[in-house]
Amino acid sequence: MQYDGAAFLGRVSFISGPGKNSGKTSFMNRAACLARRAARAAGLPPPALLTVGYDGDTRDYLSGARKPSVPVEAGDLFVSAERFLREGGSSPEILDAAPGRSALGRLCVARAHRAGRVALVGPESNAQLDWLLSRIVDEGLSSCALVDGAVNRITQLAGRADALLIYSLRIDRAGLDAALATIKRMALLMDLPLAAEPGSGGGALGRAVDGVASEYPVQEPYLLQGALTAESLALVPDKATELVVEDFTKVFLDYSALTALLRDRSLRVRRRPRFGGYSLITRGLSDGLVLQRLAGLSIRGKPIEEYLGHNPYAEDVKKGALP
Amino acid sequence: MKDAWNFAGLDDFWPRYEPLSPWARDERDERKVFTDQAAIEQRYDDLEAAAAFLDRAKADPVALDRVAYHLKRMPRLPLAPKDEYELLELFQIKKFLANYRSLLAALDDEARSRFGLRPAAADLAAELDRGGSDAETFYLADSYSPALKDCRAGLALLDERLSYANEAAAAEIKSLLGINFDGRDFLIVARAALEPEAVHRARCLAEPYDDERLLVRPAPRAELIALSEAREGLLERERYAEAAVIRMLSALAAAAMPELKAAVEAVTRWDLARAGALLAAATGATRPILGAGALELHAGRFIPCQDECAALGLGYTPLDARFEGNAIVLFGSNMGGKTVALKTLLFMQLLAQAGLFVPAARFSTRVYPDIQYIGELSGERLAGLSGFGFEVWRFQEALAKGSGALIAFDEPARTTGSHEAEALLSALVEAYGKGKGDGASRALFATHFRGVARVPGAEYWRMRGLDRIAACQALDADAPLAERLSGINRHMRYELKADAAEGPPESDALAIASMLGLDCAIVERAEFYFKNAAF
Repeated sequence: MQYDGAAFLGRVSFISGPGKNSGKTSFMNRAACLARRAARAAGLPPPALLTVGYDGDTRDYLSGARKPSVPVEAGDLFVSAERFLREGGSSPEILDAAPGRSALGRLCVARAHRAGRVALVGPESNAQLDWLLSRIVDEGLSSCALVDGAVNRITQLAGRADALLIYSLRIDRAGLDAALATIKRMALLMDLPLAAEPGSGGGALGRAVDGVASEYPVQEPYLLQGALTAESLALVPDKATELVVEDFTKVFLDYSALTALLRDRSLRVRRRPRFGGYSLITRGLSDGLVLQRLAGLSIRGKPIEEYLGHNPYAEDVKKGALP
Repeated sequence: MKDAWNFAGLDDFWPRYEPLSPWARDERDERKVFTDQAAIEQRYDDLEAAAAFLDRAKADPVALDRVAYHLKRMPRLPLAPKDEYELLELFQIKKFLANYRSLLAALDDEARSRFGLRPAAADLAAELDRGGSDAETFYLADSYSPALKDCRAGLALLDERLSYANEAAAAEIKSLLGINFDGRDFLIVARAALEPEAVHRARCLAEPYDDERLLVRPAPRAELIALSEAREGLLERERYAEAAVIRMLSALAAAAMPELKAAVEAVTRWDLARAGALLAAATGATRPILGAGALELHAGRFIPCQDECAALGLGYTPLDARFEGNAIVLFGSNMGGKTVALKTLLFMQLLAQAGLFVPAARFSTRVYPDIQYIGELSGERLAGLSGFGFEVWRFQEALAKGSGALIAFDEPARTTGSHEAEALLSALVEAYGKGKGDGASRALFATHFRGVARVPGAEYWRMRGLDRIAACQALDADAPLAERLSGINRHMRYELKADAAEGPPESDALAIASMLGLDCAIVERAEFYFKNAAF
């Protein structure tokens, strides 16, 4: 995967990862820098930065003081709560207020008048995130949006035609096997085929079930409304061999459970996002080792290598440049 | 009134009533049913005034669009005086005032004056307009204060110097170490590629990242530290200057609160009237006539049912009714439409008391302090009581509430045997029939129990029911069930007719059972028992 700023333009990029400290915010900061340049070169407005949680703050390495952690440049849009708006010196202009409230107060869409740092605060409801993305991207306030957020909070991702998913994770020696399972699980999810829509001639969707076992004859494929978990799977009749879920965010099976399911049954999704790839941040092991352990894996017909990006903060020193 | 509201299907209809501003939407969502006739009449007058404006402006659809656009864009705003408003609150006030001005411009004098929509908080608006890149955004602009302007000029200068110093540092590092920070705070670099001495010479800090790599960042340079410290100082001064501007704007906003509050009230009133007028136009609704005397409905359309019929390809018959008394009994067989008639009457009454016009050619009624529905509910509400016990409790509750209410009883006493039911129902009809004048409750009873006593003061009506001859001629016995159902519907006469207390009419229920395909022998025996039963 190439880190190309132009790839973010005109899109809502959801940067996700397995839990905290998976490198999502670091990746977003780098992606924002690249997108900003690409937008400037294309004569487009700067990017917008959002989160679906609260990005917290970091300590300044010079002073040790707390400071908002996301750098912005003049013209960037961001979403924050009123109480954090004027921190970080970005001299914000309020463009709009989101309906509803968050635990940290009312959210607003702001534009930085100068470079600074901001604390991003995200919406608590999917409806608020929808509203924000629509206001920012669909109404042309920004050339693109970068959303930092955990997979289970980004159901909007599946619903937007312009959505791009980037999966960021940190890998160290001790956690290598778990990380590989996470990558493979994500690869399986991204590789799930699309289900035919009802009436499309490709086979209508079967009767919906809501986690309740049924005595009725099973019609294929079998649409699971809600989450696919070990518990809800146990309630699906054995006869149902073709399952359909709304999108990959509804699948809560780990890699081995998902692999076992796919051995016996097919699983399809009604919507799937464009997959931008993985951003892998290795520590204590080489990028090459990870690649070697993933050899042979493919997503949507392309080898996994094409989806792997490495630490956006890594620098290859050019030979001969050293003094 | 909640049960009556639910029974009358108002929730299916309510989304058609679409005010656009947040305060009018709040009021719509409260589903208020008014009991003060003067307040209701004022709403009707408002609705007529809004309809008149919409009519005057129909030649200018852009102006009409503008009205909707600005109502929709109005944000909630603080309406209480405060010492200091938040930046977001000042933004909300500015955005409201911008849209309020534009709304006023899109209306004509007559509409503005009718709804009290007059210019508000001009001084505050002028001050707020100084901050922000357009009419709807807000920014603490340099122009608010010389101190703010000075700070920001200083910050711009420092930022330029910092940027130059950072670029110079990055260029120096690149030339000495061959690494390009490219806007990044730090880099992960292979240990083998860096010599400690070179790192030191390039004024970088390197710390172990892992066995193979180092985390490298520029060491703090004296010039950068000095500039950063100066910047922090200026940022602090900027915050003070901004706080002074916020206090100045807050004082103006606090002083303008009465005007803002009045403007919000006027907008709400206008928006509700506009939405009501649009709803009336879309549903062919007319102004109810409120007063004493009879409850009269002419060509009343129960919209949820009309929609349902249209979706099923069935015809719909509007309802005509005129009731003088205070106890009205509606007889009818199964599928005869008596429950729909009851729903139609409650639908009209609730809409009328919600301050809206009703989909009827004429609806004349009085304002009831309470509107109740007593019939089947979706869930039992008193644990431990049987269906009959619950019904009796509700009868008593209605009686105990006193007079003046409109009460719709749907199949009362349905939970007990028919003889007891008829006796109980007769007593209820008698009790409500004794009520005299407009202060008494008016009760509507829909029932299929024909043996209800004929008591003074009560009126007896029945649904005309099935046109059996036409239905029999038209019905194809081999047709699928859905077709037979729609055939029955087509020949059902959903009209009210005064009911004389003569002997048993022919049974629509048995005819319908036959048309729906019940075994002929069973139907014949049922008719035998029906005709020979003692009525």
